[in-house]
Amino acid sequence: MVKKSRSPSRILLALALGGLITELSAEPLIVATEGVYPPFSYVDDNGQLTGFDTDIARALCRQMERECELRQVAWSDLIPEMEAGRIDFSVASMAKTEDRSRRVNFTDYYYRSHSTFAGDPDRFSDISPKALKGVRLATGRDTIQADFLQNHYTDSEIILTDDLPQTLELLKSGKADLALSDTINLLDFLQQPESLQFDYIGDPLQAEELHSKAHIAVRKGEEQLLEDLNEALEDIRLDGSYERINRKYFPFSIY
Amino acid sequence: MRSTGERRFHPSLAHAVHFAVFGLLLLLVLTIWLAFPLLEGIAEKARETRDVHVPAITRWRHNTQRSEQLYNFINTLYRSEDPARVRNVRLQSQVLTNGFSFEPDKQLAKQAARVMQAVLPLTNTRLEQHQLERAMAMRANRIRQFTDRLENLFLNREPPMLAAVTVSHLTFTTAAETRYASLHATNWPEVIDNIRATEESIANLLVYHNEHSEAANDLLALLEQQRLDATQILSLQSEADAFYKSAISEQRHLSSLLNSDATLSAQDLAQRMEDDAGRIQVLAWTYIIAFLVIGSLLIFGFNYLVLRPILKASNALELASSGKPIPSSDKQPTLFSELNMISRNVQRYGDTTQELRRLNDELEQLSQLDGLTGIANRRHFDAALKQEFNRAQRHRQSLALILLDIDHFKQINDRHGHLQGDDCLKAFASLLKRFTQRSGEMTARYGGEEFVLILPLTPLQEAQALCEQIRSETPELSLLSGQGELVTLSVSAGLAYTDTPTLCSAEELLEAADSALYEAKNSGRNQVVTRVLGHPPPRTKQNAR
Repeated sequence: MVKKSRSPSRILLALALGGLITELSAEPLIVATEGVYPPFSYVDDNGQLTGFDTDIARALCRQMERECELRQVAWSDLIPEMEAGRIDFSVASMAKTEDRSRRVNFTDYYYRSHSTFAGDPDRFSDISPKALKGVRLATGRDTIQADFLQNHYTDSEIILTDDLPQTLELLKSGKADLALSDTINLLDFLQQPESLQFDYIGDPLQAEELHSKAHIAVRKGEEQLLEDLNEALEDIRLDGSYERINRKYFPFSIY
Repeated sequence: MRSTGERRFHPSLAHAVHFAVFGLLLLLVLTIWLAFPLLEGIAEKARETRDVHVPAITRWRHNTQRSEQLYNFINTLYRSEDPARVRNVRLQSQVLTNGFSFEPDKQLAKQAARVMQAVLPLTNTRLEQHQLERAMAMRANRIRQFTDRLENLFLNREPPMLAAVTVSHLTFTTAAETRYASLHATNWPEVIDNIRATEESIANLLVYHNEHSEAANDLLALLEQQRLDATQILSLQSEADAFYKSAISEQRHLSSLLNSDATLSAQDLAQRMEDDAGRIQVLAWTYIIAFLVIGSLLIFGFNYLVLRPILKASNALELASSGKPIPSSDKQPTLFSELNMISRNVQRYGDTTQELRRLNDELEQLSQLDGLTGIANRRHFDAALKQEFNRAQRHRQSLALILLDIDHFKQINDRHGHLQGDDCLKAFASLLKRFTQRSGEMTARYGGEEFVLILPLTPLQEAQALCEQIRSETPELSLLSGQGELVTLSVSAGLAYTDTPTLCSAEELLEAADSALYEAKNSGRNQVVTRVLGHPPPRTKQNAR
């Protein structure tokens, strides 16, 4: 009975301590996303960072009950910034490769997608390296797609860009013949009224190195954060939050 | 009193306590041992639910949603009149069906590809139809312009007015019908018939009016093209229908592949977990009940088998030390050997105490009796006289003392032997005993052949009468000697009496009796002489005859 009467005060103490700890750790998490990767992350007409990735990042922060500050970071700077400790984690449709795993930690995947070529269907249908000999292929720098092209399409002309809009611009302006990117990104591009002449070329690529799973990257040393993120990811996936965000951007599940 | 029979089995109390503690521990260990695999099983099943079934259910739900979405896409492709929408939906369908290749079940990806094999030609057919429609709409505008010209050219001419009106009307209708044609709403065979009717009426009109054949021929060419396109749309429509049907049937097949028993498995697991939990509950209750029952039995057993024998033994000890006999119910053996030993020892102690007491009594008795005759001896007599005299003095009561001596006893001894003498003494003693039956009265052997009687509360006359009676009955103690001779006894007695014991002493009383006996002996034996102390009455002498 003594114990029982003491327990409320204990709870209060725990709450106070917990509050103190929360107070100490109340420094907001810095979350990075690319911002030029529609519909996963882009800057909307009001200048706000938005997209599937940013919504997922916000949902995770809400689930973890942590304050987050979203920051737009260029693709090639994402991992260096995380290594420098200026970013806590990034939700940027990043595939988990061996090289990257040495530099940052990865959570479980949060969506899946293929890589596909896009271009003029009247000019191209065969996407074998032999058929694309001498063809100009555009893709983003430091991406798994860039590695893949450099390894397999040695006879093609490979153009590396800083981000997806640049790649698509090259395609539209005729400076590149084919663009290689994520199927869902390309879907967004192909649905634009000005993209009518373009289409998916060939089936999605099935190569092992084009991992097809997007993960959240977490700064090394933040093991607790990694664990919390994985837990929050499972929670939002099962409580319907993920589904709502998915439906907002895509008419079908991409998990 | 051992009707229940002696119990043979007597375990040690220490062993019994060890055994009970060990048994309870064993029961606890057994319960835990039985509950542990069940708990492990529940944990295992919970893990399986989380790691296998929940993901499977989630996956199944996603795939079902994808499949339903695909169904919506096919219907949109088939029904939409907007080519841009058709293209977007086709692109989405492609990405959606690609998604099935992530599934571990490769058959899903294959079936999804089969759906796409029907969706792509459906899309192409639809787009082709839309293109034809667009071309027809543009042509309809030109045909519409011809309507106005036709009116100008033919309406004011003679004859026949009616034909021209008909042509004008038909052309207008055709233009309108094809301008706003819809794949689904338009009745294409009727449109084709109308165009053909228009063509025929124009041809008929040309029979009469050849002058405008150039313009009419242009119109006819347009109308023919319109008819051909409409026919093409109609024929493509049946193809589209076929592709649509095929796409829908493949999609149905895809849906049927998605049937999953994950929910059933999860439910089954949940059921089994509930069963396991129930079993643990039963185990726990069994343990609690067993614990209560065994505990009660132990308490009862302790009370009955340990505490009670100890109390009994303590009781018995108390009884034994106060000299009372131990009740036989306490002598029954108990279950435990240690308690039995205590009980037996108490018993033995009680028995020993009893025996000692009895021997003591016996010894005391022996010290007070005369060995030959069994009546009180001289020592006992001295004590008794003192006691009786004191009592008489205290209560101012009378006291009579009779001293008796068998006459000529020495001669009997010499003549018949000591054994015969002893027999005489015994016979005489038992005779005397008959006269001293009341409480306080006593017969004692005074020494040799001398006996003494103490008679408290006996009046003088009665005491004298008693003396007389003894004297007269003594000769009747006829004894046969070893040689067959009849031995006849006689006795002399001295009676000392006082009814005022305060005026004399016990010694004086005894002396008086002695001197009375002496006198009786001297006066010829076989007679009683009385002396009264205190206020001496007149001296009397009675002679027995």
